[in-house]
Amino acid sequence: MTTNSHLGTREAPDLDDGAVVRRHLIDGPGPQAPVIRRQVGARIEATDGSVWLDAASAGFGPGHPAVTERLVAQAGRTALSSRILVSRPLAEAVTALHRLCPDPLTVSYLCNSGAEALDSALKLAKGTHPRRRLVMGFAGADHGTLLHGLSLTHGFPLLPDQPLGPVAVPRDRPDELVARVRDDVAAVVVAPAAPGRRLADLPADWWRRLRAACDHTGTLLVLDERLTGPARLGVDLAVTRLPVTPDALVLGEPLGADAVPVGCVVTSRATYDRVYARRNPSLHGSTFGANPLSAAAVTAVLAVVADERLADRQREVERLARARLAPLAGVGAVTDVGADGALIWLRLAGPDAARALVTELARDRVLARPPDGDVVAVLPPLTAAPGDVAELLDRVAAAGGRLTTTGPDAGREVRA
Amino acid sequence: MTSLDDRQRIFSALGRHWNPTAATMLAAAGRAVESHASGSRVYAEDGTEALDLAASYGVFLVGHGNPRVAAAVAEALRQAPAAPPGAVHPATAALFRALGEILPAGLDRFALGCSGAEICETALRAVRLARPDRHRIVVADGSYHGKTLAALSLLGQGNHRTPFEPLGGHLVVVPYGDAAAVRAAVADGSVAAVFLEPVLGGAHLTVPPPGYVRGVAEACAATDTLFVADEIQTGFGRTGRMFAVERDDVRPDVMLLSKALTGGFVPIGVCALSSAVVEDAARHPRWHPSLLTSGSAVTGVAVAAAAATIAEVRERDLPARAAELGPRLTEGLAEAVRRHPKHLRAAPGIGLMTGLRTANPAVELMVSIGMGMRGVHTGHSLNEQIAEPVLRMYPPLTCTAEEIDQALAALDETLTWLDRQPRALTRAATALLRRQYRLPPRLLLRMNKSPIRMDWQAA
Repeated sequence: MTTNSHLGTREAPDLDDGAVVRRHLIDGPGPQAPVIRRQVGARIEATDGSVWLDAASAGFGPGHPAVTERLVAQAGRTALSSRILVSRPLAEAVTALHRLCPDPLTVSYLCNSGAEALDSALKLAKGTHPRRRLVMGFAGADHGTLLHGLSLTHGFPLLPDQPLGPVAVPRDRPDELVARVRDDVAAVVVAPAAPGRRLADLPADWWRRLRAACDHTGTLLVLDERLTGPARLGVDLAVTRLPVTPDALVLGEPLGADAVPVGCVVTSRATYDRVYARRNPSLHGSTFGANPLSAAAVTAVLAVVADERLADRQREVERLARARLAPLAGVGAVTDVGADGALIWLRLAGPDAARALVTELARDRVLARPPDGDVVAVLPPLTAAPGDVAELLDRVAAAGGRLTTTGPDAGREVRA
Repeated sequence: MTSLDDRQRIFSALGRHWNPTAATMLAAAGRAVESHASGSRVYAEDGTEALDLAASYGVFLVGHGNPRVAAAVAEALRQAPAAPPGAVHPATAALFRALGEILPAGLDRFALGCSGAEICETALRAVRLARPDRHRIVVADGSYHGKTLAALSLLGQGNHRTPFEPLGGHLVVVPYGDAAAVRAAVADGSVAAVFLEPVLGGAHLTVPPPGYVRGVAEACAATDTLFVADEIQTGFGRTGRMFAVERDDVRPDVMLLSKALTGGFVPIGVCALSSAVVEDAARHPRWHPSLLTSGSAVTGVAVAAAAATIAEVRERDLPARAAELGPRLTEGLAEAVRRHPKHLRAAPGIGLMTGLRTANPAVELMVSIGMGMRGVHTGHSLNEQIAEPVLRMYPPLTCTAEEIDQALAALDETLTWLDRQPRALTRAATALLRRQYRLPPRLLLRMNKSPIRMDWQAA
């Protein structure tokens, strides 16, 4: 800390938008990042005139006419709310979520991000078992940007004495996870599928054993569907493809149409009541959470998911991805390709090759997330136009095909 | 107009599928269905309107539906609503430029989130990474920094923590307003950071004596302890200055911004850090940039709304307006306490961050209900456990002198009625309030003669 009467500094006037964001944003985008002018579905028109295709956002897709008009209309009435009065948009949103989720998952807590929703599931677990100090999951898995999600991802506690310490099991040893569920664990967090892990990689029997272990110990089973739901795996929710029902189901950014921050955790009434019944309703909550604009987004998005059969569209994406990308596997630097609906990924010969692929994709105007080790995810928006998806997959196939396989040049582009 | 059947459907949905207890309370209170809001006023579907001094505890700083922010939101929704990873949204650059011009010098690295709690967690991770050998965090008694599980571990309000304890043993809670207590707490060099609201908010609303925040900051500087200023309630002019730390001319190491930042349109939070803090964090042996990365739910609409809100605050010089109009409200509230001392304790306030410290939670509730009956919404604490809760009044900084006078007139009427109620009644009502969640929920509805049928009881 210092004290200083001088307040504020003016930015150097010659810095462009990209440079300003890179200068100030921690973990910001690289120098090749497009500056957005307009977005529709997977198409991003940049201010320099280039057109990019979005394989990074894993969202619903911006610019859907019905959703946009619903959001513009709601923003014109009331967006956030002073919450003194009763919210009709919220009633509609939780009703839509009830229709989406399998019984007995009937109670929805709306908040401001998938990360917050996951955190709310863990808070529910902590309230259920206050003395338990552990949360379990797969090491390296993406569980959002809040403390406990990051701790699971990185596999170590980020605070010396945080509310729940992480027990992160290697991703290739799922049986160890089941075996470690004991009565000192408040919650187990697992995603149905993830880049690098197919839905089928965790068989039905594994899920049954995990459910049984959680039932035996009272541990909450939290299903992280921030990426997979709704529709991405070719079904409205991935949970419908599992032989078990979780205690809490977490949904995230796609519910907000990529425009309005929102997340949701859905639980059974019994699970919810164990912590929150007969207590002050402000025991958990958020200034912004459950606001009318986010509620309107949830309702509008889920209406499109149903009316336009978005899950079916993702199965078409899967068929296309398998046709275009599967031939890459084992030929060059690509060692494996996965596609569960529109959850598409490529495993490369190593992390260097994965980084090289992302660089190649950027050269071909495909926006991709930084690789997770040797895996590059391809996650087009749910409402991407079929032609854009085909073009996106063609560009991925071309970039993947240009990479060499092993040795010191692994991942380097093969130049003609 | 909302029909009874329609109201019943709404309450049934909220009770069954959202929050059964909150639905019961809203039904018992006979709350109307929200229609729309504009300026300082909120309108219900039944045609009633209310002057909004609750303003979601400060969210509606530039008024409801502010035209400039509304236009920015509509444009972003239609043109570029998303902020996908790896791309640059131009509104993010606009927001960062604006923040650079108004924040205390040195706070030039940003991490974005979708709520105050999220960016409070970011700050907590940052200070722990930057001071890895120091395990303790200092907060003030009564402080509020959000309710996510990690933010909860920082909360200076025991009633929200207790059901989830133990949350960790690193917290040191000191009395608010006592810089010497902070000096003592950080003296041995074991504290990574002090998290402080420059004006204590919530039901504990307290304006500290001048020099207090400076005293805390100097105690931090003397011991290389990081100073995190939580300006989530106070930022962007609420207290009569752009940021409340300016009152003591203090430059924090980390500043937290949220609530009012998007003008009441879209959730957002900004954790602003000095480069030195980020560099210290990056020296941690387990450093990874993702540990301080922004939340993936932050959208283009949110940053566009934030940039427009700051432009509105600056162009209309709303901090000066709060400083100018604030005394009309704070002096009016102080006069109300003088005229009606029976159930009131004090009128804390600075700028347009004001409230009434009440004798007990029942008084807070009764004043809130009385104001509501007279067309004025106030910021009820929903906290029946503390002794003397403050009923908050955080009007939009765009409100008028006439609106303040309207609120004060409604308050005088309410307090005149309240003066006729014996103190023993409010004490008994407080005892009942503290047990209200143990009463059969149906009884609450019957007591309040609600026509809503409670069909959301657990099986």
